[in-house]
Amino acid sequence: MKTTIKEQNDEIVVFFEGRLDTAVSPQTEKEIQPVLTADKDVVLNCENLEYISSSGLRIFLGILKEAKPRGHKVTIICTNQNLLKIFTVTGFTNLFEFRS
Amino acid sequence: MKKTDNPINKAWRKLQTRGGVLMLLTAAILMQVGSAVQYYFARNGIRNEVRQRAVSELQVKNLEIQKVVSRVETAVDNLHWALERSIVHPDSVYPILRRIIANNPDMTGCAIAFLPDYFPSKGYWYEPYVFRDGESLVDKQIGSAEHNYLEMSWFVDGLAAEGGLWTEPYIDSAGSEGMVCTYTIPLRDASGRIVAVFGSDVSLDWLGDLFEQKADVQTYLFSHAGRLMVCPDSSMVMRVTLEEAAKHYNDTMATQLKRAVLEGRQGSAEVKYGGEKSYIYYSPVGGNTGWSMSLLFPDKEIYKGLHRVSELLLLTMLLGLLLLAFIMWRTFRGIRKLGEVNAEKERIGSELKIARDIQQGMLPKTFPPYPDCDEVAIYGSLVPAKEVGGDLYDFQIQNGHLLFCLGDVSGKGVPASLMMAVTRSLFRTVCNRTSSPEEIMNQMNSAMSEMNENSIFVTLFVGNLDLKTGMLSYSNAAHCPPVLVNKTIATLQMDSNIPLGVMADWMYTRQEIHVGLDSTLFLYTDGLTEAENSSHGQFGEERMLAELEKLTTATPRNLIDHMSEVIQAFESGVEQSDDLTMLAIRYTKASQK
Repeated sequence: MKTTIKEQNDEIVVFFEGRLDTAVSPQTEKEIQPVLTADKDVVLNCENLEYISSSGLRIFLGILKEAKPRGHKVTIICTNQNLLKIFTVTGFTNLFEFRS
Repeated sequence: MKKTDNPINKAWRKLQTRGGVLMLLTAAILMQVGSAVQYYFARNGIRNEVRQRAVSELQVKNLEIQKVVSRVETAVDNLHWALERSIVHPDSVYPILRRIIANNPDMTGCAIAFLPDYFPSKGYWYEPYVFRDGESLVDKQIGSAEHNYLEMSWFVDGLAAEGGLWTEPYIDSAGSEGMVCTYTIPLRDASGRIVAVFGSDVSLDWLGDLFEQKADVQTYLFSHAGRLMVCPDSSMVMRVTLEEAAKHYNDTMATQLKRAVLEGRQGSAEVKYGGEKSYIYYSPVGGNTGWSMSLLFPDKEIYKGLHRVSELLLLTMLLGLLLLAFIMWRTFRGIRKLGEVNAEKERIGSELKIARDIQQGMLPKTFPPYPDCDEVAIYGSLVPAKEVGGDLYDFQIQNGHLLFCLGDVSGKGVPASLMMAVTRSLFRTVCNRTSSPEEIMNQMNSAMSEMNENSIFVTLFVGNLDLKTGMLSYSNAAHCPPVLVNKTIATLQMDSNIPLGVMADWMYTRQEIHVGLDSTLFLYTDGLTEAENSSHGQFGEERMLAELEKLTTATPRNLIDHMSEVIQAFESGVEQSDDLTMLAIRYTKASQK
């Protein structure tokens, strides 16, 4: 699991690579701390994300919870059909902006 | 946890302290024994070295003295015949005496002392004497009433001797004030009668240079009569005899030596000197002179180095012991801490076990749950990955409706288990108010969103099965869709709804489906589809559906038991990573009530 944070065009973009499962999520949660405090729109790039567990989803919700009251959008970029299914079933498609 | 000083802890600590003291003591004793052995051998070695040094020193000095003594003795003995011939005329002795002195640098002067009136022309006393005065030689007749050699011991003894004889050393008061010794030999006339004594004076000033005094060894030279000729205290030279010293000092050295010197013995002894333990080595030196030499080694001085080493060793040992004590203290403290940590671990472990029991107690665990009810057969199973988990399921029959739920709290362990307990309680509470699945969901969601500080969310499926009609109404909060198993296998259609605890005002949707008789509704958590084998392959939905195909007629218990076995076989040896929960509900008979 690799997490990279980049700032692009007034947005803060988080690139997730690999498997965001229960084992790595505490580490990932630490790594995305700067995203929580950045006063910007957030893009969660999941193009190279293979799998997300409920712990991973919890991290996404945490980001949303910080950004929304400040009036910022959180967008998920996802091309993986399996992942998209998870996001759909869990209702994430209703909470986040989606881009492919 | 309060750090309790219970009796066991105290006893353990006491035991450790005692063990530590014992170890330290053993180490100290071992070190002591080691250093004692080392000390013993080193001491013996030094002792041997001293002995060898003494023996060789005595030999060397003996040779040095012997050299001078022999030169004088040889010179005199060789000229003996010439002297005896020269004593025919009183004045003819001077040339030969001169020649003797000139040829023997060891001698300071020599004389021939005649019996009284031997040469009537020379009077009662006649003692022609030649001696050195700087570079030149002086002739002088010294016999007189004032210098009455007839009563002097050298003359008396020399006359009585068979051959050459060394006198006791004496201070040359007439000449150099130095220490002098005289070698005498009796002279005979043609008829063989002893008529005179020849004496050659040998200065002993060189003795002072020959014997040097050191801190660890003192050198003594004694005359035949026990007079001190060389000693560390120069004021005593020639003034004190061993006899006087033995009387004067309360030391054993003088007493020991007195006997040895007078008897001309060789040997060694341990004595007291100046109140201190010392070792003496003594031996006769200088051949016929009857002198004896003695070396004195003060015990304190010869073992000075050894004692310094011993002190250093002791200091090192003490430091070593201190270090050892420190290391032991650290180790014991570490062990004690480890013990505390272990106790803490055990306590948490036992608390978790209790928590697990409590949690398991919250789940329906008697199957079949409704022995008198033949409309539905239900079986459920929950296997947490850790002691406690975040999965839950529950069901209850209410007015001819079976209300049931199955869900999964995000995360694992204690936080998830607390949330699980909350969710289960909420479900029970809300079920008493309403039996509509979406309303149950809405109420639970709003309660959970309000108290959700940690973004812990719950995916939950809530169903309401009308036991009379077989109509199933359900609402799903992002949980994985249940499977309806009858002749065919079908996954329930799912609206997109968000998990519980995310947004308080989310309106959950309701869906419906008709469940035919002898159909089984299979609910599960993602612990099933995401079960992993050793190569990180997931069990997956397809495999699950394929297994369910084989189980269309199975009872709920058989279905779940079979599925559990399949999962176990799939995981084979890999630790279960997520909680695994399954619930199977089979609609067996339409209710008539």
